Amino acid sequence: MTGKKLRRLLAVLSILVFAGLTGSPMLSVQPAAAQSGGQVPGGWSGSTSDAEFWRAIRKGVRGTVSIPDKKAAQLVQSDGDEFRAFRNGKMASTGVTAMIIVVLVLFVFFIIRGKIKIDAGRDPEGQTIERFNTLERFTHWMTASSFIILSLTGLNVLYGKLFMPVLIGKEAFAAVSMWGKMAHNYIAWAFMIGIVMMFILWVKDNIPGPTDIKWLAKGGGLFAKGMHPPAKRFNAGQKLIFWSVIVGGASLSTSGLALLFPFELQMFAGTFKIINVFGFDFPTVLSPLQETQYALMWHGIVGIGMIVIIIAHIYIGSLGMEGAIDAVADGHVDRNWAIEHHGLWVEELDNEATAGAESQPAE
Amino acid sequence: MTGEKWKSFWMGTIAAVVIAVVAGIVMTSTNMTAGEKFSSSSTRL
Repeated sequence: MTGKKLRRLLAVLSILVFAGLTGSPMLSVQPAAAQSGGQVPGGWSGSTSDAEFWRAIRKGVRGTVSIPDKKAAQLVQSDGDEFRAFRNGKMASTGVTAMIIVVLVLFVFFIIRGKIKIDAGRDPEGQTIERFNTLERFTHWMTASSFIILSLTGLNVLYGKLFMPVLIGKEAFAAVSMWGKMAHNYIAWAFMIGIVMMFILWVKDNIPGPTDIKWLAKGGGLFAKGMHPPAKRFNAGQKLIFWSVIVGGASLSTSGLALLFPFELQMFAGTFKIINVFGFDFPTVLSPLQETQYALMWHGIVGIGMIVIIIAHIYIGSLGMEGAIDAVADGHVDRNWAIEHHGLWVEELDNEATAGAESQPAE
Repeated sequence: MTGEKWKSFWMGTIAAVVIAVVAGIVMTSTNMTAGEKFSSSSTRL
């Protein structure tokens, strides 16, 4: 072997050894996956692209698991993104706008109309009528005080992070939020009991009737001095508040229970099925997490709606109308106030008193 | 908001607090053990 031939042989061998060490595809005897069926080469899953695989997981694809917790079958719950965007975006901004609007409207109303006085003045003899008995007032205040705590702690959950850390510091905000969340969970039971008691106590006087239409047609006499459309024990405005509190309170309670016991109470899929009868197209198959997210959104929306309504209720019951607060303070209202705002109810009471007096045997 | 006139306000408010305390005690006492809490079958947050 000449030196030239030896050098050529060594060069070829060195190329082969180098190619073998680096795993060069030049020497691979297997055809590349890309060459069969036009598929992008896959990893462990063979011809399926890893990117497609992870994209499907990211989009919320569900697998199967043998453990009891079936939620584990879904690695990434993509609906959570949309839920978070809605809750922190449109829901939060619409809610704060609604609350600002109602306060502004009431402020403008107060500037224009002022405090609604008793036109005839307070009864000169100081006569009063019992409007709410002890049990009714107790129920009102138990529900009202619990609602105020629930509102403040609920608003902290939705809006607190936006300004509270700046005002009181992060540590204090964390403590306030933790205690607020506990207060919210526990005082909710007083609110729920109050709603049931209110319904039992006042439903019979809150059935809508023809006088309510007349009352509403005259704007309840709120916009003109000296106008007092007749009303029974509760006028149409109060009936609207009552049914808002009952229906809204029941809705808040059920969605709140679903949040207190997550993944145990699931009601939205069933509710959507019923609503879809009227031509809607809500999803009727929901995962436990989606149920919880719907409950959280609905709880917030109804809660803000209730806050808006109760702000108006508090205004008209205190600052907006002379003598109204007495009804829930000691339960006795001025007779002239009652005649002006609940004339038909006073007539009923007078007729009952007269009938009672006549039925007494003469001595 | 003091005196006899606001008695029902205080009664209602105190009742709400009492109910909340009772609810808190009941709910806390029914809390799951750590074993249950961290089990894959746990459904309570």
